[in-house]
Amino acid sequence: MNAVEMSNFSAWYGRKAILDNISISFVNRSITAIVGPSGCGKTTLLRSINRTAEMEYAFSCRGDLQVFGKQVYQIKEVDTVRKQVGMVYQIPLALPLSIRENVLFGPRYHGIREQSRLDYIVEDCLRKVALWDEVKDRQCDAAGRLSGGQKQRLAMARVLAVEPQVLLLDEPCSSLDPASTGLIEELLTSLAEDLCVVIVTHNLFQARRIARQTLFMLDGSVIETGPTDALFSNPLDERTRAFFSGLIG
Amino acid sequence: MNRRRLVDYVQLGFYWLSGLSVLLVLLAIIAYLVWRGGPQINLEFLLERPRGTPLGSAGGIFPAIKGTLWLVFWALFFSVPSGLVTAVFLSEYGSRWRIAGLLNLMIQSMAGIPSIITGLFAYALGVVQLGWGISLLAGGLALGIMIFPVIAVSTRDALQAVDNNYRLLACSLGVSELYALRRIILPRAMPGILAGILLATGYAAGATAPIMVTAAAIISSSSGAIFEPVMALPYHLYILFNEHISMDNAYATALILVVILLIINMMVLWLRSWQERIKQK
Amino acid sequence: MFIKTRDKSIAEKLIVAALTTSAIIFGFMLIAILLFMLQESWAVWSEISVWSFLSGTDWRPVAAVPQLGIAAMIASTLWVAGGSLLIAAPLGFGSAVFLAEFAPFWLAAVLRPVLNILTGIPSVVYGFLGAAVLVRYFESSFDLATGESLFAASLVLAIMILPYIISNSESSLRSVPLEYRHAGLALGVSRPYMVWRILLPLAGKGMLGALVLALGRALGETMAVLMLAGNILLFPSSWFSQGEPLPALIALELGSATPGTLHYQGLFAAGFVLLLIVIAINILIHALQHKLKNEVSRF
Repeated sequence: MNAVEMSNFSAWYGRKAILDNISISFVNRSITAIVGPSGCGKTTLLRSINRTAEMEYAFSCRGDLQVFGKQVYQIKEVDTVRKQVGMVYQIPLALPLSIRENVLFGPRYHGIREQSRLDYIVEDCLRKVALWDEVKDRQCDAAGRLSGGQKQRLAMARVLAVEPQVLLLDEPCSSLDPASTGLIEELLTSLAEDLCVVIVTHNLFQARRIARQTLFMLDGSVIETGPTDALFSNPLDERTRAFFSGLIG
Repeated sequence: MNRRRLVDYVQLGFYWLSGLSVLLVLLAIIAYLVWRGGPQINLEFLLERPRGTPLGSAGGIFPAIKGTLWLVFWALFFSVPSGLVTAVFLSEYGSRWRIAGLLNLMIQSMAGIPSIITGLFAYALGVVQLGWGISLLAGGLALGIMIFPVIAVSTRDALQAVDNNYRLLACSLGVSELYALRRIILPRAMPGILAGILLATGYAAGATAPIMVTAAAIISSSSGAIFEPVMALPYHLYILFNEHISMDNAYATALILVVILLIINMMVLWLRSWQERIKQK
Repeated sequence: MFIKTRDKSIAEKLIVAALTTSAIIFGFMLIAILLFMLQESWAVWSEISVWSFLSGTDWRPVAAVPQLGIAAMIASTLWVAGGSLLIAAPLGFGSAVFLAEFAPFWLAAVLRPVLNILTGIPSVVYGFLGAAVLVRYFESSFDLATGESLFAASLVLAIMILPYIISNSESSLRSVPLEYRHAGLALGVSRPYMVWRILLPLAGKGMLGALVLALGRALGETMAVLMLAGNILLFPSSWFSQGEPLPALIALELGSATPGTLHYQGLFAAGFVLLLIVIAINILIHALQHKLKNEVSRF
């Protein structure tokens, strides 16, 4: 089943068109990579799905966008969508709280009070991102002291704690060292057993390593999409070929 | 070429002189006040009520200190809640409303209202129309209106200085803006907000014109009753000088006022550097 | 699903709604103040013409035939404020350039808090020191009957507005992109020359804005002018004559004016005029800033 389904979806900031008539779908329980030069609309595409794009000034959109069969832009409570579609951003940023409270930031809001359950969520989510063993003895320390890679994993734990069904990642590894990157790739592969994972990346090798599907975007349009191996070994479109060989972007 | 060099030196000399003159002015003010006012200040001066004939030529300034504290309390009472609410709206919700731009302009303009005008307004509204008479409450209202824009603008700026990514992160977890505000944004901006409130407190404590027409009395016990006039430090200074009561006590009162304001300013500076440190973390 | 999405509670929606309405109400307080002042002074505007109120030089509100004219006070206000700008501008701009370009790091770190402290000192203290020191000095050294004058008020006001001029001019100097400085210095000219020919022209408009802002402060200042200008209701003939600026008039006479009389209403009319002038200046600054932003982005 497809987790996210977009058809004829367009978006603007003011009068400037960012996304132009996009029709794609993201498969559940798999990783899809989005590649393309900077400024082609990848981030806006992700932020349209969890409806954080509308926080920017003068955003507007038109078209069809469904998450698990529900029209996202017809849901009245934005919070529902954002909880269902989690997102991890490019800059590793911890909320100015303790490590534990970072994870519990969402659950506390959504009304979970029992201590045992909170404890369970912290341990469960931190284990899922392989952070538990590193921080279990200093859960109450300020999260700001973690390293970049740890912060990014904490960001994933924070998102997992509200139990999303779709996980969007916007270049999560762009500021991390190779070891942290490898760890996060491993995690994404295991998370994709339950979730629809969509990752925007500048690193073509990364797309190749982890994504089952890959999607190439240029100037707000989807140029080509297909299984990763096929797309990389035999792109159909001229522009895709040019991008992969380093001629665009 | 030589003339060019001469012109350079003259310019440079002027820049240095004018820069140092500012420092000199402050040092001169403080030194002169300490020299003339310092000897009068002792525990008795701080804790006694005014005595002597004419009243105030001996004794102390305790009721004036007390009255200023009461005035500041009521000023904050009127301005802090309203200022905070306005600032939160402008920084967190304003972008969605056309009206926010207009509100910003009006609050900026309000900050420029002469303090005597807020006194005039509070006089007509509180003293005359609501029948409070010359009273602590009317003075608090005048000072509150005066410092409201200071608090609103500084709080708004402190909130806007918080990294926008926190708002984005929080909202992506499906929590409401109000929750993000309470748990992340407000704590983050707190030193800046406190600095603004403190700065406004300083303005209120030193302002004379608004209370002169709404609240101040030459002599009063400053009991804190809201419909009674009060004494206040700045007004007391004005009276001591203007009615030729006692120059020595006027210098001492001025010194006390300046010292209070110095302390407040130091605290503001400290809070701001704290805010900077938080931001860099 | 394990964790349910919390519905936005009614309480939360109420809070947001209350926040919005009250913010709008508080924001519009300026309008309320303006309307209120207009209402309190309405009798003046309807009974005496606006022009004769502004241009009349007689202020005899409690005479049998009351005369209300504030031209003398307006002239005093403008003399005092304009004069203070005249004194403060060169010094302020000089200090701003010093802070932005020439001051050693440690000295700038001392001077900036000093500016904050100078703005924090209450105006009554400035007025008191001016009256107790400056005025006495004028009296003794120039052998005057009284040293109080518009000039004395200007001098003290200049010190009061100096910090505003300095810090705002400094930030407009700093907003000139670094490239201009490098480009200038790369031509082998001296730093003062670069400042004079490149920096000052580029930052000029911002510095003018700082001056206008300071003018707004100076026009509305009460205590210093009250204690220094001499409080004489005559049309000032020169900078060195005595006068009574509008704020001083209001502060001195409000207590003795019976509500409902023409005297009371006249004071509100005077306040209304002062308020309009100051608000006009603020809107001017706002427009100026807006224009400046556009210009900088054009570079």
